Amino acid sequence: MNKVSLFIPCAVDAVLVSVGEATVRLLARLGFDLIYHEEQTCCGQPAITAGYLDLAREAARRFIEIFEEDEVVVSPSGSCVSTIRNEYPRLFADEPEWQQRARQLGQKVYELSQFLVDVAGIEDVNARFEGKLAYHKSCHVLRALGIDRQPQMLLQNVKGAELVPMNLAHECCGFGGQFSVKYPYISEAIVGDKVKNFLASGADVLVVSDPGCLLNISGYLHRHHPERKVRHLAEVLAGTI
Amino acid sequence: MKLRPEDFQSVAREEVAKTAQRDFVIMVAGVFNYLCDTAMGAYGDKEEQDKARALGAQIRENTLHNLPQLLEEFEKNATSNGIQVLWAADAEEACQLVKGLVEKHQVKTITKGKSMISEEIGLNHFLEQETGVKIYEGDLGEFIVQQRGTLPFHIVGPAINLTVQEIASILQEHIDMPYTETAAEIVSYVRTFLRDKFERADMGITGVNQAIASTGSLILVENEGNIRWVTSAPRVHVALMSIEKVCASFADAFHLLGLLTRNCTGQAITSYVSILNGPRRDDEEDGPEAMYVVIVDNGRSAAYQDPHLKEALRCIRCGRCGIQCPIYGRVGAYPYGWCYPGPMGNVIAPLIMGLDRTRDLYEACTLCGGCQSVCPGGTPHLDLISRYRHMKVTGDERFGGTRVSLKERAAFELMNRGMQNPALYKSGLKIARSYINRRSQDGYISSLPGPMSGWFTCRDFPQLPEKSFRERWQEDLQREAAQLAGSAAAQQEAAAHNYHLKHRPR
Repeated sequence: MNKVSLFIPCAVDAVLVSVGEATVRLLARLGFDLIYHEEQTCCGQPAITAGYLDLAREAARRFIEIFEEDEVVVSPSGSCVSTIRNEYPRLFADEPEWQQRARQLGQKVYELSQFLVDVAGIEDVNARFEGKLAYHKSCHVLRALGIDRQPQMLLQNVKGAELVPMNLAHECCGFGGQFSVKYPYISEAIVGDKVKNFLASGADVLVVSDPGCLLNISGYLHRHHPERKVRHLAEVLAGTI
Repeated sequence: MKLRPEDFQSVAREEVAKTAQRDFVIMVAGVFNYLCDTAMGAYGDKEEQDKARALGAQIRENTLHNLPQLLEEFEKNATSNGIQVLWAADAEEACQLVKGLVEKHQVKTITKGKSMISEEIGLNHFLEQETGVKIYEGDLGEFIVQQRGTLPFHIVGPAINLTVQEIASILQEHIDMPYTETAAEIVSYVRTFLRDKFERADMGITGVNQAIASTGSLILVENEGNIRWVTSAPRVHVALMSIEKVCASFADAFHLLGLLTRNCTGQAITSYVSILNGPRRDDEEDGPEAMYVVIVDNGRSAAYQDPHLKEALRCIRCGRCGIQCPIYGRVGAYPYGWCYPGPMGNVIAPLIMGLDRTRDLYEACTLCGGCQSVCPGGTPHLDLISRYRHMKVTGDERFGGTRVSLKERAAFELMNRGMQNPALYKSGLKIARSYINRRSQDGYISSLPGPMSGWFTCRDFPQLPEKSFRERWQEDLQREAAQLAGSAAAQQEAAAHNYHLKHRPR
């Protein structure tokens, strides 16, 4: 009865495959039976943020149909979970039946760290990492889902690791989807400050819990500080860094 | 230079390049966020603070719900207090009304309290052009930017981006101040300069922080005493307010003011709070002979008609959203091209100036939600910004929005339909992978032509793995996961926790 359905965001499916693999290994190692619906695609977040709500509704209906029978759905992305939980019900403001289905699904879709700590009651996953970690509080994880304590608790319990504070950890990394491409000069200033704060924290690895932040910060680090690392929470907890 | 929101991109490029200004603004924002957080601590822990904000939001909700009635009640009670209430449909009419008062009362000199609505309608410029009257801003920061001829950089810290050297030069040039970089000397000089104007002005013009419907009173908060001068020394006082600045009672107003000052300057209360109940009465020594309130609509009624868009009128102008905003922190106020910078402008400007003109305001946002998380009026910034983006896509004539081009729409729809269809997605990914990976060096690509090129101005992108997660799952991940989960250790782990019992839908 420990079935967990995996919601693997498109950025993870296509680009950050290692994050998906780490999520699988972490959850399996903890004894969860994993389901992966192979017909899943994008949840529609890009369409919502770009203002294409009709398209987003199509994506949402499809997503709901695929996942609504599951007992619990877990994703290594705060922003994609927030899309299901917070945006879907608003998308269907004029369609009560779909809104109801969206709400019901939203109640059982969890971001990875929230699932582990709040649902499964796991605060220590028996991971090991020798070094200092800093945690970037991804916007949708922190503000849209209200998740703050859970990922930090999991990181604090990683053997050998020290979780160090980072200035302005709660500030956006400057990704914002299309924003990073449309306003690169502003995005650069924001991610540059994020990396400055990371370097000043003295941490060896910056940990994030959203694929968007990971792509943005890792892309910037690779260009400017290739020796520095940013990793997804799942990778740290699965011990694959 | 006249700034316009249409020029957001070019101005933002210039501003973002000023790294010293950027670092300074980020530093100041950090200090103010700390001060505001500390001040909010007076309400108690996080939960109590949320309650205080929720009450503020509820008061604003009440105002918006009963706006027409509250305005009428305010007008009735203000009138019986001897205040003359004038209504202006737009900026032009508001300026003309004030011009009429300047002429009627033969005004030569005006002193002002800092007022965003007067910036919004361009009152200073209009009056100086049309009447030749001399106008002096009474707030030190606002006075400096008035002399400099630029927009305020922040609604309560208009000159916060200027160095002491810049300020000294501006004042030396415009009011003959002997050059000094000592702040106390600068303040002292401006104080003496302005005191003379305060004493001799014929008319005082201010904004309004809250108008009280039940008593017809106006409340104004400030720290420098200039508003006290401006509202009590001149013969005539004109207060400008936008339609949403009214609230039902003093109790409501004081709660809002507590939130306003705590989220603005981190103060429990400002140094001065003026409560004005009308012009000078026969038995009183101070106060204006005549007092007017000009209630300005300027496009707000149109927004008010829409049940979702009227939420943009919740703002109480504390400016906390600005110091939370990662965009405002890097580009400052000028790119917004209007008196309301940052998230405050993002939600109000599109409704007043039109969606087409303000496109960059609601697009240049990462939807991080920092603004919304601290707003004491309960403004749903993210919902509004999403709505403006949607109105842009579909076109909305009510708010000056032309539908996006067929080409832009078609490109987006094609891309997204592809993302939704598993077969198209699979083949699209294959094409993208070969296109992208051809440019890869050491596992990363550092440039791509076309619509994605912006990404690469400061960042690289990892090459795409040869197999997607889906393919890895089919290949061996699924089997590996089943083995791992079935292992003795994992089963023990699972037994130690009662997973499914703890899963309670919230």
